[in-house]
Amino acid sequence: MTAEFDEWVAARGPGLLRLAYVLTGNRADAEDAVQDALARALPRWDHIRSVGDPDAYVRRMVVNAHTSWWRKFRKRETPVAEAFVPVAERATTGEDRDRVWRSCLRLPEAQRVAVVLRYYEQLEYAEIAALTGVAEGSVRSRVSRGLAALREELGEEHDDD
Amino acid sequence: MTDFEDRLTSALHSAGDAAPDATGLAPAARRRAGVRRRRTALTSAAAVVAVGIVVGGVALQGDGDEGPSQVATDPQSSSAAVPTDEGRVETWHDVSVTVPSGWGHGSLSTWCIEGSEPGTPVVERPEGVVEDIACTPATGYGVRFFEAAGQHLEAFSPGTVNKSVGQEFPRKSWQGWDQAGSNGVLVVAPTQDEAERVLASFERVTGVDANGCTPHPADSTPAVAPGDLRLCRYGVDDWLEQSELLSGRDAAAAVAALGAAPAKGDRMCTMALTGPRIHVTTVDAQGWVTLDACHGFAWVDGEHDLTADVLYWVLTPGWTGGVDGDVPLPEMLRQ
Repeated sequence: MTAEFDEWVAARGPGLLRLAYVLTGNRADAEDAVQDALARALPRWDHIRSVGDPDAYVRRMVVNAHTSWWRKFRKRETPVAEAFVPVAERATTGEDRDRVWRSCLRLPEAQRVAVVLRYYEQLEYAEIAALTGVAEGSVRSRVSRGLAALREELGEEHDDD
Repeated sequence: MTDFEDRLTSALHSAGDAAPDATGLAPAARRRAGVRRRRTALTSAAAVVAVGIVVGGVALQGDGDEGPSQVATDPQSSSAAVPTDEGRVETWHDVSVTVPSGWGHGSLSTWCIEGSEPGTPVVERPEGVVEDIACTPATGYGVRFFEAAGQHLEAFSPGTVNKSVGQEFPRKSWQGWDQAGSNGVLVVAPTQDEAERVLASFERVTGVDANGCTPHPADSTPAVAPGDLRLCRYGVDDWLEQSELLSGRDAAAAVAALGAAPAKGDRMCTMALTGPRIHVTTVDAQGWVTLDACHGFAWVDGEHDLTADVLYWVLTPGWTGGVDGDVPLPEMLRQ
């Protein structure tokens, strides 16, 4: 089981870390979330492999680890890898991509998760609904509201094309 | 996709490229699993055997020799049950149910993380932390609120309790579900009596729930008795997530924490307020606490900064969200 688990982590771990980092905006929290999810999966690895898709299982665990209140508690015990730079300050650098991502990180958590799963993971609304445990209509609403909030913060015109 | 959506996708992928290196993930996970296993061994010594339930595409089944028992429910009723010593009211969106006071909060599907048998029943809300690690049975005991869309619970009739023989539930657990409008509740209890009592308490909230909270934020809510403090917690969708009524010393401590919070600092917040937020009401004051460090909250004599004490009292038990910004967090949550 150990070799199989290691093999799976070697293949999927980088992707999970990228997702966690996009969600948290913090390297320490991203590593914490992924390690914690893997630690919970490891003792039941054989069972997880036998009953379903390990990718989906562990991805869901990472997302939920990110949204956990308890994760917020642990954050205080972990050195913050990067200082959060205010949006106004970043805007002067012209780094548009970074500015958009930083704005995304400032969305309310439920909207941020929905937006990241939709536009980073490229999941369908139904897949996001299954992963987060809310109705598809709620996912659509959160994505829509998240986009609207981002446009407002970034001073974007609404394009309907 | 619109141009903006393309930019967003590009920005998120660019951010992901700066993620930390994945070297050493598996060994780190193994070390953590070892620590968790030792902690679990200590916890499981006091584990309580209980019952479980599951929702979402899972067949519920009676065992034949004990037929389903009908539970009298009136999901259209708006008369809220008054909390008693025998239980507490739990509301989610526009449905509520009364559960035994000893039931906790969490996910029904995570019992195997902490013990070797399904343990203390819990109340689960959508979006709570779900460590989906394939426990067997897949769910423990408690109550699970759910959105009806996409659920398949037709294996037996709503408002009835049935004994389970499926592998998805603890052996000989009693299960039932009910639905009102687009929201419902699944109950899994160790005994038939407990399952029936919980399921019978299910009702749709068309006005205010037992604690005086409306399903959506309202301009006016019922008065609060002197000495009490009401908490109505709403999600980003403006649906009621949970309600609570504090009294006695708890209410007094909560009021003191709100009043003791320092005046809000002079700063500009770029993001509009969108919640989650908690409506706090006493006999002579009310205000909104939004879980956002920048905006602070308005209470009685002006705007205040969020403090650990304020969060301790306004965050209802079982809350599993996040707080945006740099907020001084309490050492622990109320249970």
